[in-house]
Amino acid sequence: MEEKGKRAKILFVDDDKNIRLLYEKVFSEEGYEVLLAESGEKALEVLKENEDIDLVVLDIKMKGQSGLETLQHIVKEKRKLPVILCSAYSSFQDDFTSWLADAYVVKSPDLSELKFEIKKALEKRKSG
Amino acid sequence: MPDCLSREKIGEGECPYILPGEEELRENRELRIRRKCLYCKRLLDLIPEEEDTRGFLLKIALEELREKDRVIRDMKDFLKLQKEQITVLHRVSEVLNLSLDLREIAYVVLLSITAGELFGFNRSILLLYDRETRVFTGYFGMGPRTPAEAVKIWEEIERERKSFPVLLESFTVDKFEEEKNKFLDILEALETEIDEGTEAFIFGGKGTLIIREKGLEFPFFRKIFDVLKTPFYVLLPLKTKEGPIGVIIADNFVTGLDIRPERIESLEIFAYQASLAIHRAALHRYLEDKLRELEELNAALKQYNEKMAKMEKMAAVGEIIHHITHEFKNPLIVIGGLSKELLKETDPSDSRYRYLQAINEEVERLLDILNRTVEDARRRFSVRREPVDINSLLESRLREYAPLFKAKNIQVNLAKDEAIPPVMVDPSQIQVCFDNVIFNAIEAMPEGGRLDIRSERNSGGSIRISFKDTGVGMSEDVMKRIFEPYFTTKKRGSGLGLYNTREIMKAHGGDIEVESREGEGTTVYLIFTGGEHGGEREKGEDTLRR
Repeated sequence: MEEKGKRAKILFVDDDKNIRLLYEKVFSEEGYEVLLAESGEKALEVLKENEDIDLVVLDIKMKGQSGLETLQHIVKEKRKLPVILCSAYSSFQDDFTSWLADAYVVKSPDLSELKFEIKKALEKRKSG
Repeated sequence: MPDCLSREKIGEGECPYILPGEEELRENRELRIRRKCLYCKRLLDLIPEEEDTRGFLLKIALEELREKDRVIRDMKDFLKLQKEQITVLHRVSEVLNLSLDLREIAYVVLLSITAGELFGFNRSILLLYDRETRVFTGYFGMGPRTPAEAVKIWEEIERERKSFPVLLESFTVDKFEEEKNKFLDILEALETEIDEGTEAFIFGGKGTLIIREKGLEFPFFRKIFDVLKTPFYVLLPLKTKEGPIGVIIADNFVTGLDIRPERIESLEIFAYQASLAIHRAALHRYLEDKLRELEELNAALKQYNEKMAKMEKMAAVGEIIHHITHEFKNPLIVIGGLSKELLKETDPSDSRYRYLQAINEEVERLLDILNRTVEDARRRFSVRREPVDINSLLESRLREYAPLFKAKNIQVNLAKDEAIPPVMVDPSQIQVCFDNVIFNAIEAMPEGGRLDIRSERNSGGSIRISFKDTGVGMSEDVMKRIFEPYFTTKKRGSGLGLYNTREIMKAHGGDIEVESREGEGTTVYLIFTGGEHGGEREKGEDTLRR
């Protein structure tokens, strides 16, 4: 069980700096502690340094290591860490690697779906 | 004894042999003797018979003279007839030389055989001969079928003064069919396979055969008797220097008249002409068939090309759409997302609220368009997997390409591993891969060659299809670039064939490998990583969101 009042720590990974800016603004205001990474490689470093991260939101198509490759690394190292894929493409749902993630959200300016999936994943983690 | 012989002049009506217009002969004794008296019945009476040698000689000389004169007259008649026949034959050969329609040639040939002006047979039949199978097939017949019909036809020709040159121009397809239908039973009954001996007998250089006896050793000849019910018939072999092509059978079943021996020679000359015309028409028909076949092949090829180009273009369009989406979507999401946030923080009474709302709406609209475009492209270009029997798919592609292989003189051999399990792939896309690879192989063998296709299952469970051609092969420099988009060595080619093939194979979790040696040929391997993907995929839809 988490301490009451302790904010959930979420790592957002996206190679678009303005998307990261959007996530930071919106999810900080939602009450989460927001960490940011601009690549898959960087994300794995951040995860190593921050054992207490509760959730990762991962873009797929990025320069360098793709979100799906990053996902495979995460699953291998931290089986229980929930990951939500958030991509501008819906087509990666066909790639069965993406089924390793807890959810797949197609990027939209309306972040309510992403908010909902984050909440759901965190609750599941808490109860599980 | 008349004294007309001794007088210089004779009176009108004195000589019964002087015809109107020959009056001058009455005035000129010598001329009269030369022209008339030497042939006069009464002249022999003038010659003293008893033991007068001169008288005897004179008598013989006169008789001889008269005999020779008769022969000359006959010859003149004969030559006149021959000349007429030659004129008619000349017309016939003109028609035969100009026509390339086998029906018209058959019509004119049999018309000549039956025409009174030429060979005058009661009826005639044309059988064509296939050298390969040694089979005679009834092609056409002409003439009456019954004596009653014969009388009717001949009266009609007489009454309407249908001269042969007029009849020559009378060919129409309808008339041909009408006449042919009349003979259909005979034509069908005469379809016969003959043995080598019969073939040698008919076409062995004996020329025209006049068959009179039922007891002949060849069953074919007896059969003709049975079918035609005629006392005798003529068998006219048709052949060119390339071999036999048929026979004309002619008979006089109505009149029973025998064939005139002097006609045989011209009949044979005519038969040779007819043979050449029939041969030429058959050749023409063969070439026309080939031409049509080639045209069809060309059309098919064009269709393949267009289809291929379209598919390649579509794949390229899909690529572009994908790219645009990514480049546009992220900025729009940022603009839209941030303006939404700003909107939340702005009081509706603030004039900026409306502006932010407008920004939001426009972003939504743009994203909506973009999403719909992407969905459409996705539907069209995405992989829809289903269990596919790779061997059957291969076979169906090879069947479709069979005419092309034939035309390009390419021998195709498929060695399939029957134990290959179904693979989860999108058949329409894998078909594109097969088509691309096969097409490249065809292009690599402009002079024809051999394409060996093999399907096999490796120990690891992956399935490999190899396409080995005996084409021109590729240099190392070309090999390095074959998967680059828009790289091509062909005159017409998008340069996307192998690029797309690799993209599709990779999208299916498979791969493509190429081995090539310049001047020796190329082998392309399409590798499928087994059927396990699909199984997971089917459950996958449900487990997508755990």
